[in-house]
Amino acid sequence: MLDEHRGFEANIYDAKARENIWRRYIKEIPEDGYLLLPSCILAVGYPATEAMIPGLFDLLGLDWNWNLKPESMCTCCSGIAYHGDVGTIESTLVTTARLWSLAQEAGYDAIAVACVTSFGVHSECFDLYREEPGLKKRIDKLLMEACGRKFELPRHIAHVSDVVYKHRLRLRDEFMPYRLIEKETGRPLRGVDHVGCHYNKLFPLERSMGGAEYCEVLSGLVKAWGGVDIDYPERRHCCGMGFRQCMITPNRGFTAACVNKKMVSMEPFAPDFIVTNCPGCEVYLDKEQWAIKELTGKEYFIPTLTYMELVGLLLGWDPYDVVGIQFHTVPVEPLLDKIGIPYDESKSWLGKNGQNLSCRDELLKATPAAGEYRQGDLLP
Amino acid sequence: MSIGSRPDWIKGIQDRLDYHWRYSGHILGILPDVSIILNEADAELVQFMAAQGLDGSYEAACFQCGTCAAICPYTLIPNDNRSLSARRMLHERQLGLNTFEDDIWLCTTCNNCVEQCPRGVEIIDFMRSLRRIRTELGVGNVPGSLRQAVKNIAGVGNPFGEPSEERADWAETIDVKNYSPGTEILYFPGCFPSYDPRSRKVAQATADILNKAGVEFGILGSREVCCGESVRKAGNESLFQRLARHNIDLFADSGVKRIITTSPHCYHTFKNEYPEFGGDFEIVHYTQFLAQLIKEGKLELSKKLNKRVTYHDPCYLGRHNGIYNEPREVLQSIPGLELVEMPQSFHGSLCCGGGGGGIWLESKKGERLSDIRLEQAIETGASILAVSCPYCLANFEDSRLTVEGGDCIEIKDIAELVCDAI
Amino acid sequence: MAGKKVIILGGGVAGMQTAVALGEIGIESVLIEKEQELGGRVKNYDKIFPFFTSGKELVQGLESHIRKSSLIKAMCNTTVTRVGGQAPDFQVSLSPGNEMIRAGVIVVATGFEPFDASSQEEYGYGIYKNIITGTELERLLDPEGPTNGELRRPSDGKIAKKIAIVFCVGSRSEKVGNNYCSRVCCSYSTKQAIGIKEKYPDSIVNCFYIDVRTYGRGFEEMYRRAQEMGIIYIRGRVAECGVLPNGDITVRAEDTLLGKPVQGVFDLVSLSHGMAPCCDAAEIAEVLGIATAEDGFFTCRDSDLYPNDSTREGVFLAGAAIGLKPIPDCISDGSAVAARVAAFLAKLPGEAE
Repeated sequence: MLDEHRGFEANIYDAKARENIWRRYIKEIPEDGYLLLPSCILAVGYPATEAMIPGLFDLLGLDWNWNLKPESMCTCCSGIAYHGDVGTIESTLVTTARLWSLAQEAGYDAIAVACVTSFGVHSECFDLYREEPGLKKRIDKLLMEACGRKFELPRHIAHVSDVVYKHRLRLRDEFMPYRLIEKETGRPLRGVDHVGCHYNKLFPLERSMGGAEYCEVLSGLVKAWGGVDIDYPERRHCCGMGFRQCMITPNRGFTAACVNKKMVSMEPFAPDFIVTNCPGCEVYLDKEQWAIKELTGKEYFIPTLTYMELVGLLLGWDPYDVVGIQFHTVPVEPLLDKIGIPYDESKSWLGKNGQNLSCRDELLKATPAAGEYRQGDLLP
Repeated sequence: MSIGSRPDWIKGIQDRLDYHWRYSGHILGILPDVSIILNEADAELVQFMAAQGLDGSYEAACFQCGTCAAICPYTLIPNDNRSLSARRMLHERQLGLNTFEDDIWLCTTCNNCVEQCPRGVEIIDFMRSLRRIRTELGVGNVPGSLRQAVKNIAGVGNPFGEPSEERADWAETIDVKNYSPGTEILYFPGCFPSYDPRSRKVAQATADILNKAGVEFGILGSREVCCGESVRKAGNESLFQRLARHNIDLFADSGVKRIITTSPHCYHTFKNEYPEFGGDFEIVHYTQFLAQLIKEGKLELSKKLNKRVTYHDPCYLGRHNGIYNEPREVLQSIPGLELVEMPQSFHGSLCCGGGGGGIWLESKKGERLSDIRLEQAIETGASILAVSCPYCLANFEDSRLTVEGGDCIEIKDIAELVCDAI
Repeated sequence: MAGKKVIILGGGVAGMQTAVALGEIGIESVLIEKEQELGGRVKNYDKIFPFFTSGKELVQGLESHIRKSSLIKAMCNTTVTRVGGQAPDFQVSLSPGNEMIRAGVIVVATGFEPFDASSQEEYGYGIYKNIITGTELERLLDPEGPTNGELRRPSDGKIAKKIAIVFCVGSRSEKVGNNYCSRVCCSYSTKQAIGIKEKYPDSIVNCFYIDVRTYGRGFEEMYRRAQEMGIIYIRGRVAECGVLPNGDITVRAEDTLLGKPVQGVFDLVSLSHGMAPCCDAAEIAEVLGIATAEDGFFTCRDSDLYPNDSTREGVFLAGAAIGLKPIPDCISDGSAVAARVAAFLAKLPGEAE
C-alpha cells in the first residue's frame, strides 16, 4: 500500500526495508501513569498546543497528573540555562531531580515531557547518574537542602509524542473523524516529519522510537492517520534553532540558512505539511519560512504543525479556539481545506468574551516592507 | 527595553520590532552554502577547455602528497592573504573548479616542485594551463602589469613598449657587426639587455669579451623579437607561437647555426621549446661559452679582483637545464676572486622571483624572494653577488635598495666581472 | 596409523589450495563446504586485482584439479557439528547425516562475511535502491551477471553515468564494532572503478576515501592507472546519503584536503564494504577448541613464526579466516598450511610418510 501511494517514489525506496529499519529501536513505554511536565517555549509560541495535552489525555482516559499542588508545581527543566551555559550542571541536576520527585510523589514512575529540549535534558541527567556512581548521593543531599525532597530515577522518560504514538491506532480507530487524505481526490497527504534533535540524536538506542536516522515517532503518526511520510536528503538536518543560534541575533542567519536548506531539499518531494515534536523546531520552521520569503522572495509556505495540533485537527477540535492555528505564521487553512476540516476565519481572533483581539491591520500598517528602514536605526 | 512599559507599542512598532533590526542590515541574510558541488561544471566550458588541451591530464596523476607545496619558495613568505599551494590547486582542478584559493600568478616556475614530484606531475605545465584559462579563455583575472607587458611584446616585440628599431642601440658604443649568413655565432642578448639601462651593461660587456677573444659573431638587432618565454608561462600560447615562428624564420633565413644568449630564459626557450616549431639550432649560454673560451686559452684574465664573491644559480640555468659548474669555473678563473656558496645553492637555489611572469608583477616589500636571497648573500660576507640572468640582476638591484645591509654588496653579472678582469 | 586424513573446513580458494597442495605431497584430505558448491567468494569475481585476471577461472582451475585428484574428497552442503579427541586422532562429526570421520589434522579456512552495510544507517543501504555494495557492483560489472555487465542501476535500469564509491564502510569504525582495516577494499574499489571507467569512458567516478591503502606489488600501479584514467579521489569519509525524487543519490562529505564540505549527486553509489569473520566463527572456535581474538578472527600460535597454526595442536588456519588478505596471499596460505600439516604429520611416531 505504501508503494502505490508514494507515486514517483515507488521505485527509489525499498519500502519493506524502510518499514523495518526503525524496528531495531523500539522504545517500550507504559500506556499511562505519567507526570506531565509542560514546556516554557511551547506555552509562549503555540499555547494551544500545550493546552490540548490534558484534553487529549482525558479523552483517552489515561492516568496522568501535573501541577498537583501549589507547592509541587512543575518548573522549567532549566534547559535554557544549561544550553546557554549560564547555570551549573548541579542546578540542572537538582531541578530535574525535583521534577522526578514530583512524579514519585504522584505515584508515577514515568514522566511525559512536552518539550524535546526538556526531554533531552532529562535524558542527559539520567545518563549522568549511570556514568558517575557517586552522583546520586550528592544530588540527594542537594535536593534535600534545597526543598526537602527525596527522589528516585524514573523508570521511563517519555515525550508526549511518544505517548501519542503509543495510542495512535486507538485515536484513529475510536476518535478521529478525519484522516490525512485529500478529501477531493483521496490522495494521502504527504507529510514531512521533523523530529527534534534532542529526541532522537542524543540517545538513539534508549530514548528514541525508531533510532536517529529513521525516527518513527512522527512518521508513525502520519502513516497511521492515512498520510505518507516523505524522505528527503536533509531529513535529518537540524532546524538550526539551538539557543546559541537563535538567541544571539547576529547568529540568526545560521538558523535561517538551516531552515532554507531543509526547504530547498524538501520542495521537490512536494510535501503538504510538516509535523514537528519540538517547540523550538516548530517556531523556527514556521517563522523562518516567512523570513526566507522576505529575504529571498521564495515562498515555500508549507504549513508546519506540532503533533498535538495534528491530533487536535484530526479529532475535529475547533481549529482556532482549541488548536490555535491562528498563531501560525504560515497559514494552515490551505491544509484544512485539503483535509476537509471546516473553519470560520472570522472567528480566528475572538477572545474569551467574544471581542476581536486581532491587531493584524495595525501591524501591517506599522511594519514597512523590508528594506525601507534606515541603516543605523538600532534597538534601544 | 521593556515592552510592557510602552502602552502604545503597537503604534510605535517601527522602533521596537526585531524585523527592523533584521532588515536594516544588522543581521546576515541567509548564510550561503559553502559546499563545493561536485560534477556540476558547465559541460560546454569543459568541452571547450578539453579541446584546448586542458582536459585534466596534467593533474590526473597527483596523489596529494604535498611535496610541491612544501618545497615551493613561497613557504618562506607566509602571508594570510596570498598563498601558493600547487597541491591545493591540483586538487581543485581535479574537482573541476576554476576558482582557486591560491594566487596562481605567484608561481615563478622555478621548477622545485617538478624536480621533487614523486608522481612526475608536470606542475609548471599545469600552472601554464591555469593561466591559459585566464589569459586565453578570459575566465578569471590577469594582473594589469602583466597584461601590459604582454601587450607590449605583442605590439613591438619587447615588454617595455620601446620602439623595435632601438633594439640594437645598446651596441652603439661597441664594434658589433650585423649578423650575416656564414657568421659563426649569433649573439642574442634578449629584451632586458637590449633595452634596460642596467642590463645593457651586461650586453655591452659580453660583446666586449667576445671581441677581445676574437670570436666572430653578429647580432640581428631590431629584426628579432622577444623569445616569448614569459609570455608562454603567462598563458598566452598563441602569442608565444607567433613570436617563436617569427624568430625561427628569422634565424633560419639568416643562416643561423649557433646562438649565444645572455638570459637563461631565452636559452631554455630556444633549446627546449623552439624545436617543437621547427627551430633546430645549437644554443649556448654565455657562461658556457666563456668557460669554453677560458679552457681553450682564448681568453686571458689577468686583472685581479680581490673580492669575495657569491654566485646565485638562476632557476632557468640551474634547475631547468642543469648548468651549475660552468659559471663557477668562469668565476674561479678570475684571479684573486674568492668564491663562497650561499645556503640553498646548486639545485636548491632560492628563486629570485622573476620567472613565470613574476618579473612583471608587483610584489610588496617584505614579500619578495629576492630580499631573502640577498640577505643570504650578505650573510656570506661577500661583497659581490654574481648573477647570470637579467631577471635576477633586476630583482637583486631592486632588493639592494631596501634590504638592510644592501649597500655593502654589489650585484654584478658574470660578463661584467670577466670583462673587468681582462 | 597410516593414511592420516586432513579435514579442511571451508571450500574457498584457501581451502581448495590447501587440498591441492596436500594432494601434491600425497596427503589425503576432505574438503567440507557449507554452501552448495566450492569456490567461496572468488567464484563470483569476474576480474581480480591487480592484474585483472579472472577469479572464476582461478576457481575453476582449482576445482578441476580437486575433481581429478583421488586424494581429495569434496563434501558440499556439509558442516562440522562436533570434534572429539585430540591431535593426531580427531573424531569429526558431520551434518547432515551424522557421519564421523577420523582425521589427523584439521585446517580452518572458513573465510569471511561481507559487512552488513545496512547497519550503517546513515548510508541508507537497503532503503534507497540506488545504493549498492561492492559485492553487488561486482555482479553488475560481470558480463555473466544479472545485467550482462551493463551498469544498470536498480531503481530504473538507467545506465549509471555518475558513480560514487565509498570506502571504509564497516571498517576502521568503533561505531560498528570493527576497528580493523579490511585491507582489500581500497584495492577492489580501485579495480571496480577502473572497470567502470574502461567500459564507460565518459562516466564520472568519484572515490571517497580516508586513506588509499593499495599496497602490494602491482597495487600502487593500479591506483596510478585509475587516477590517470580520470577517476577522482576525494579524501573525506562520506557522512550521509540522501535520495532525490528521480532516484539519484546525494552524497555529503568533507574534502579534507581543501577543508571544505562537498556534496554530489550520483546515479549510483557503491559502498565498499569491509569484511568480518564468517558468521559462525565463534561457533567453529568453540567446536574446535581454538581461540579467537577480540576482532573475531582466529588467533594464531605466534603471529611472526607460526601464522598458520591455531592455538590448538593439530588445528591449522588458512586464508581470510585469520585476517583479510588478497587472493594470491590466500593461495600462499594454502600452500603454507600444507607444508605445516605435512611437517606435523611427518613428525608423528610410526609415520612412514
